[in-house]
Amino acid sequence: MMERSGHLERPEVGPPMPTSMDQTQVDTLVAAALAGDLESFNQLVLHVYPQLVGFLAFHAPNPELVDEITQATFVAAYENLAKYQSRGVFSAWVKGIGRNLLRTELSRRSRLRGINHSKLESLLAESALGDLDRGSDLVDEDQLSQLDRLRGCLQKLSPRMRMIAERRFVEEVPVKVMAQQFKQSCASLAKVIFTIRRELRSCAEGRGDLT
Amino acid sequence: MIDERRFLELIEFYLDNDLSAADETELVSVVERSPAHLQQLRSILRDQNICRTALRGFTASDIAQRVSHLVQGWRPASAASAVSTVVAHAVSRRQTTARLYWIRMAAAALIVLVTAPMLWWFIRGQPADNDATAPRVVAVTGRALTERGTLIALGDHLRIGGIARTDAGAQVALVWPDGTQVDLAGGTTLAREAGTGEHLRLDLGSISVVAAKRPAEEALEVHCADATVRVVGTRFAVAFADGKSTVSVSEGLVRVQRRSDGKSSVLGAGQQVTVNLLPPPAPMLYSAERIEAVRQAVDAGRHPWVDSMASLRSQIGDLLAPRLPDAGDLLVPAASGPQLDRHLQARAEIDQLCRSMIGLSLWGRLQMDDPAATAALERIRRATDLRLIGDEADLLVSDMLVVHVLQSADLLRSTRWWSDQDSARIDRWITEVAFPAATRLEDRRRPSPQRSRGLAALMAIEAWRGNLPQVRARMSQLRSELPRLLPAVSNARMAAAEETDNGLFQNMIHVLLAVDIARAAGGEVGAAPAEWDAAVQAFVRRVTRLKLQATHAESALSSALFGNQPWRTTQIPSAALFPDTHTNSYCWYFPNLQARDPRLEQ
Repeated sequence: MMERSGHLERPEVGPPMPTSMDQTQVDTLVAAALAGDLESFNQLVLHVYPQLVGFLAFHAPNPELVDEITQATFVAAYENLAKYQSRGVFSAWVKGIGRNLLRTELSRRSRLRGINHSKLESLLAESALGDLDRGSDLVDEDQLSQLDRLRGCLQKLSPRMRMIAERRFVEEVPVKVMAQQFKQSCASLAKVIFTIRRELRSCAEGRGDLT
Repeated sequence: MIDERRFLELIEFYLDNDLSAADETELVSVVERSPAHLQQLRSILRDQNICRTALRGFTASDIAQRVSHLVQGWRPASAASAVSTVVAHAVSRRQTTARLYWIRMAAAALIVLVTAPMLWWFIRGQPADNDATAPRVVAVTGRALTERGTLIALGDHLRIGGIARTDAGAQVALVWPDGTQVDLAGGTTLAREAGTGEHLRLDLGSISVVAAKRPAEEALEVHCADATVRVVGTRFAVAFADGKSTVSVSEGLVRVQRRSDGKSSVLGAGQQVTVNLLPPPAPMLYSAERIEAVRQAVDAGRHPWVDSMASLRSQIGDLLAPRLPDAGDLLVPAASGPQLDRHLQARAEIDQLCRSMIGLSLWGRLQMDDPAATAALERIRRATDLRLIGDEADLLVSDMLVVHVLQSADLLRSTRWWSDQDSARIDRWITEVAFPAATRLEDRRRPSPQRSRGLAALMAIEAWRGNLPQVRARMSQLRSELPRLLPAVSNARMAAAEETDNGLFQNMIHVLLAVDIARAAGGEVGAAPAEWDAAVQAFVRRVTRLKLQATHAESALSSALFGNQPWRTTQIPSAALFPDTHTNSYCWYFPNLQARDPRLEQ
């Protein structure tokens, strides 16, 4: 790796765009996966991953749950592959599994507001569950393209802001560590990070240019 | 109000899993008091998810590789167990990584410092080949020792025969390969023993357990000096002190068995028991298994439970809001003549109290929600402080107060909110108020709506007292009275008439309640007699004819009758069902989460 501007250069960031596949290709891969070909299943994972993770990013209450529900969804999809009916809607089928798993987990967490469980997690789960139950199940194309645009927005940040964004969102450096590195208080840095998130979101939604 | 920068700082700490207990208390108090702050928190977390997802360098092929590894290297018995285990990992990761960034660094230093060879042949490093299921230490705070007095560190494995001891204030988290996690609190001594499945011996202190689903024959068992807790997949805590074990369940079901006499009970989420007090009181309507079945039906998105739960959730604010009636005398005159308004006023006051009491009890138990359960208890106390007087006092005591107070108490008894004083209060109220009122109604010579209400109330009282032979005897009495309670001539009139036969309606709804109590408490599972079937058919003909024109009461009875359970029917047209999923069941005050048992409608 090369050092650049004080942070690690990354040749490419972000999840890949959906791989283009027609119904026949999907069904062929499903049949092969059912016959035990794991590589075919991996191609199916690559095909539906962006939509699934996009949906979860908009609905899960924290990043860990995005990762774990994504993984659990693919395991469940693999285990239930025989139940999939070849109608060319594989991504919707997988996303439905993800939605159900997320709903189940949120419901479970929302009622664990008691013994040995974080009240905050329960409150967040209850709030997220309410949103999920009120609809907006599907991530529309605009939301998916927001994720794509957001990568471009990153490049529009000032070098310092970009560095903070990469440390925080990509490398997930704890804010206390970053505060030491940037010689700021945690509260000041939290405000900066908040501003970066808001501006990136605004840029991705096409609501304004970055300052 | 919290300073914005502090609020944002707390959110970043949350994202790092680095909130201290005080931080979390502060953040919770802010978002609980202010819906706007809760929304802002959600919005920031969503933005974090989106930025992270869009910008992070990991690729879908990483995920594909992880999934490949999971499905290739480990094939559980069922998809459900695979998924629950993966999600169990998610839960444990969030819970245990709160300190991991720092612990990792501390552990690295510790490993450099502590290099005595004896550590390695005890529980350090990879488990022995014949103990592939050994749990790994994933978090340590404070000082924890093995039985040889060596320090426990991250990455250690607790082999069979090993013992972990935590100092006061210390904590250790153990994770098994299947995702099961056990957290040792300070001052705990825990041993891992040989045997089929997983056997832990708790000598002292307390542990909390998140158990991944396992085959029944490989269950996880926690042995204390006085009890054994057996579990196949759930979350619970066991504490052993002063020679007594206390088990608290926060998810799923566990069976607790007392060693001295073998007595055992199934506990569900929200319940707790001290082992020397086993068995807990028998449920009147809501067994732990039934409550768990409702939770699972809601989790799985099954109808009508998921709709009812969503409806109940939306009403919690309203249920908490109303002013409670003053304790003391409440006049309930006859529902006719010049006192009609006074009667309706008293009825409305009791109705409001009962609705909020039952709704909050149900929400508190199903969601293990402290504020709701506490508010429900307050309403139970207030209801049992009321003294109804007047011509129809017995009627309202029986068909409103008895049924609702005892159902609410049934939901909360054996939970952490319930106290011995509450049990004593209910017993006293039954003796002084409820039983005499119900007996006076039931003593009427001829079968009538009043008599059926008295009978249903008496069955509820006997079930609450755990007097199961009396419950079965009352049910037998009810069966013998059905021909007179539901005469064929009334059925014919019900099917054809424009107006509802309110007496017949009252009889049907109270019979249905009594039948459910008899089944849940008394194990009376006999089929419905012909008289009941005939009345149901007449009712079905009526609501099929009326459909959307059915009255409020008829729609409520339609919803209570609908289903595959015993004494119910699926022939009722959907148009006749009660549109408000919150309030249909035995009577129009009862949420249908209570009336329909998912275990009987698979």
